[in-house]
Amino acid sequence: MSFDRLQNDLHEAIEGVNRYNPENVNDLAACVQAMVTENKYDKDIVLTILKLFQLNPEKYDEAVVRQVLLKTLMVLPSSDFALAKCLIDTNRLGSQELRRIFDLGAVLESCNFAVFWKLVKGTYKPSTSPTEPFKVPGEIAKIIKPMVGFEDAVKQYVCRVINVTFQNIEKTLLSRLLGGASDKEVTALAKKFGWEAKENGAVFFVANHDATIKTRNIDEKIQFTHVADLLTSVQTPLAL
Amino acid sequence: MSRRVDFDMNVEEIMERRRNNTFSGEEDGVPNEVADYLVYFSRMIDEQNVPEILTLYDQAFPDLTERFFRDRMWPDENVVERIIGPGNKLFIILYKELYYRQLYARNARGPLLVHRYESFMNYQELFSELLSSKDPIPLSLPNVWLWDIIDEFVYQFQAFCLYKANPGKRNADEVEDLINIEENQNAWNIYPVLNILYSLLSKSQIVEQLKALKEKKNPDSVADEFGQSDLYFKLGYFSLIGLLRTHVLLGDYHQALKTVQYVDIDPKGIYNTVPTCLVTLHYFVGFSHLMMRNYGEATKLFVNCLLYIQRTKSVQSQQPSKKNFQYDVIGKTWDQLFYLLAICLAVQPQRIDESIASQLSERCGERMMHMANGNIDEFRNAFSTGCPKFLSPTTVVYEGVNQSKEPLLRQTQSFLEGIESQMALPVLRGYLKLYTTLPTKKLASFMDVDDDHYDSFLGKLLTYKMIVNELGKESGPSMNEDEEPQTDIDFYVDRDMINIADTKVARHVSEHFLRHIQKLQEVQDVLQRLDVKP
Repeated sequence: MSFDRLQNDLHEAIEGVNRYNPENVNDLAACVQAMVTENKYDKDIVLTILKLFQLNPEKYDEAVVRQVLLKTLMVLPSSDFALAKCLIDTNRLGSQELRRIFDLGAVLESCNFAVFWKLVKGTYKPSTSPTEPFKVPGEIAKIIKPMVGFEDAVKQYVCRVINVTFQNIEKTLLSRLLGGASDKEVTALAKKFGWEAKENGAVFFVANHDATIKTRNIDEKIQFTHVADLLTSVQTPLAL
Repeated sequence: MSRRVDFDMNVEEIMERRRNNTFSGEEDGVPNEVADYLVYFSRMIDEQNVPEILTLYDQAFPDLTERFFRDRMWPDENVVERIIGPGNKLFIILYKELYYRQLYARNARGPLLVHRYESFMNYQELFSELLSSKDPIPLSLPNVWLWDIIDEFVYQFQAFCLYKANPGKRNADEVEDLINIEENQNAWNIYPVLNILYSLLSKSQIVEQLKALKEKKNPDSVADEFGQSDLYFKLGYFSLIGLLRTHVLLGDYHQALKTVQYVDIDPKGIYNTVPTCLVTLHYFVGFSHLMMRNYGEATKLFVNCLLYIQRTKSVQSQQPSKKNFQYDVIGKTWDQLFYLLAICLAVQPQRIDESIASQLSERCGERMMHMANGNIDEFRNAFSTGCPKFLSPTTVVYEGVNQSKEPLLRQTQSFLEGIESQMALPVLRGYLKLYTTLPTKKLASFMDVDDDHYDSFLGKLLTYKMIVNELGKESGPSMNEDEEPQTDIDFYVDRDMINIADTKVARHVSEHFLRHIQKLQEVQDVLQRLDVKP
């Protein structure tokens, strides 16, 4: 069944206290699967299935949990990934595969796009540190491959944070942050976000932050109403 | 200072004269005054005399507890039934609700399993009276009592989950009973608890009504006779806040906020009439925002709540009688709020009310400095002190180690993982403060970043802006154009140059002068009244 149909039916089925009906687990899982293949998303559905897994441990299915976590990464900068993590119990965290997605999430949450693209493209060089999270970097590409639209979702995320950070950005840097995107792709994304090409396309004008982010001195302003009470009650000073 | 009443020989006669029934005060050891109180109380409930009920509930009950029941419990239901006579089922249920609340409050180690069980059964009876009646039942209770019922119900559920997970809390006899209860899932199980709360919502059509109110429509148009009844409307309203709390305790922050999406935080909300309800609402909504990394939103709620508590403190402390056996929710939350506020401001400094800011720096100044320097342990401490008691409703431990802290550790961990990815922020801020413009490469070299890691370094700048702009929020930033910026420092990047803007706020001195002018006037008044002989 298609995502839209499933979503429609499920929204009625998880209304009110029925959200906690364990019978919904199978339909919810099917819907998550549809999200993965059709590149769709529904916050209520993904969080509901995690809650049901917590309350009905016998129904727990880690493959679905991994799909959910990856889907929440695709809607960054929303906090859905953080919310999803809060709905996974400690005793589930032993799984290496789950851990790997958490580590990937940490990279994306800290906007470390350079590392992300290296992981995706297989050019990542793991350090020898014992805390190195990506000892087998090839795994990451494998994990995200079935997720339709994952890289595009990250590109949208990149553009959204650039939007609030940069006034002008050089095309070379923009392309790097977008994982070595081609000129055509960069131009298309810039157009979508309303960025203007300048200097023969070598630079994009993003937004006029200059106008809003200004050094300011805020002085105290005293309203007459604040002191009116006091003024009416003023007495003559003591005559000594 | 024992004020216990001595029974004189005439007790029985007096009782006879007062009420022509078969009750024997001496036999049951119930003082006259208490018996009179109970009879009057049940009559007022019958007559739906809300102002009287409020006094009886809010003042007389703690007062009598203090005088007669410091060292023993209130009489049990059978005695009470003999005193007030038969046919007062609803009053007996309400009385038992108070009775069990006392049992919970009195035992530092928590009540016996049997009392936990009985208390649940009593709640079930109360709610089924309310929910299965064909017509709205004729009952009127003061807001504070209605809120206390819902709040205590959620509290006892929480207490039971923590009890289940901690084998050290029970004796050998109780283990078997617990196995029994868990097998039948007939007391304090998550499903019936949620079911009761959600049923109160749907019975009262509270969500639909609040939504209509928000859209400036007549709520009666979406409500039947239950929804239009004051009792059901308020119970539904308070259940929303009870559910908010339950969802947060279960780590379900999105659901928590969704539950109260139509509860407006404004001076007209019913929650304003009950101080503990107001504090609960602000604390849990703020906490959910904190977990969703909307630090700005969380800060606002925490500060408003602290201001409210500060404002009403003098009133609260004038009622020492309330203190006896009653858990001091507001005082406890007051402390917790400071820890949570410290976290928010360490990650995202903002200007806040000056009186709160000075108290905060007095309490947590050093902690905040450590947090700003990236000390994760300090975040952990502040979080675990400030957060609610999380629970796992499915964890039962019959023997072995106490696992009641497990959910807390889990939430702390996922919170800290989020903080770690933002840990560079305070360090960045430290550098940015010193400049008005700064080339990105130069900042990178300050932070010992080589060219290979330059793009990763840019990620820190992007994270900073993402957090400050609250991109994670669904509704987007709510800031108005003319609103003063709340952050002390902001920046944007123009190609490879960081342009930094800081906002300096002049000290606010008018408050100070106003206060001192007032003081001077008071002194002058006193001086003028003095009769000084030459």
